[in-house]
Amino acid sequence: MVEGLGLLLGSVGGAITGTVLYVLMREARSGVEADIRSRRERKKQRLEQVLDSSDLAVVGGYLDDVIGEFSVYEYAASGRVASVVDRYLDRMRSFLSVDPEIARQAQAAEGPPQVVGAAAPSGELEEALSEVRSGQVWNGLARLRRHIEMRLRGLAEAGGVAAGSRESGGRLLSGLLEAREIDSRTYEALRYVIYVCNGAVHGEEVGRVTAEEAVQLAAAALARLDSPVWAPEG
Amino acid sequence: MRDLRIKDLVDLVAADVPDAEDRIEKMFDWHHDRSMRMSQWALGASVSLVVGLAAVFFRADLKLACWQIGSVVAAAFGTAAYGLFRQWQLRSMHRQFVGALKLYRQLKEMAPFIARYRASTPEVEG
Repeated sequence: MVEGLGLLLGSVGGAITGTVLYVLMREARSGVEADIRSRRERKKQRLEQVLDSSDLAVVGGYLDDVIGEFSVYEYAASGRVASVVDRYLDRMRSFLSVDPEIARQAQAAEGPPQVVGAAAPSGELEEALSEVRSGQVWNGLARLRRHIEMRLRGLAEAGGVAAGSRESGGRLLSGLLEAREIDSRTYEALRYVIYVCNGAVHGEEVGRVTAEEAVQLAAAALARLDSPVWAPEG
Repeated sequence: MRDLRIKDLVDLVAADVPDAEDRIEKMFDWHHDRSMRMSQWALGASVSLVVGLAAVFFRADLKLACWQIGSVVAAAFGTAAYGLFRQWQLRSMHRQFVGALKLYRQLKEMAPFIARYRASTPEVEG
């Protein structure tokens, strides 16, 4: 009788201990999984911040400090590492690529287009101009390109022109011209500015004078976009 | 080849090393040959130990204690396991080689940017 009771108590105790251990392990596991998910999310956000940055040190630093620290062994053995590295390299190549159509048209044009008006750079453009003047041409022109792309994307959305969130400035510009949301002079001016910016971001040597001219031209062209008086030609 | 980092490939691109892809191939070839030799040596040593043990076992005039037999068997297993491990590593080396070439070519497309970034930073620690 006593032995049977002891066996029963032992079994109940064992079952309770087992259940408690199972619950604790499950909690610990879900905590670890949540931590991993949160870290992955933070890394993803950091990648987005890096690619949105107009600072050469930040974009290049991520390549050296984060991507560069992975070994080729890890890249070949781990699908997760391969996915992070491939995503970064794909985005970087797209970020640094020179739009061939824009480059062809800009090279075919005879020099920079005529200034379509005059406007003093302000806000982001003023900051871009200040970076160019202080010798940070890459940073200034990357900032300028990002600003132009944001403005064009806003215009495309407002005008109902189809534009993906990663559409390049050149494609946005062509889409807006086709939809007659911008006139040809603004198109030519911004096409030239984007051509100069693409070259600089890609790593080509762009002189300070050319970069300053591009910022001034962008300011004038963007001011023209704001102006309600222009009418599409033709 | 756990010691080859992506940063080393970035350095190759930044330094604009001529025939970099051939150099990467030679480096992997060297590691492949070394691993193959180590594997063959370990498997050969393991077989030698087993053959030696068998020869002693079938000779009536030589008697080995249990611990001696156990030690030889353990050593044979150990070296065989090491040899097989090196063989297994060789399989992944092909994937690493293909991965290294793919990464190098992608980084090469970013060469002007990498050169500009490296020129703007005083010293990048290795």
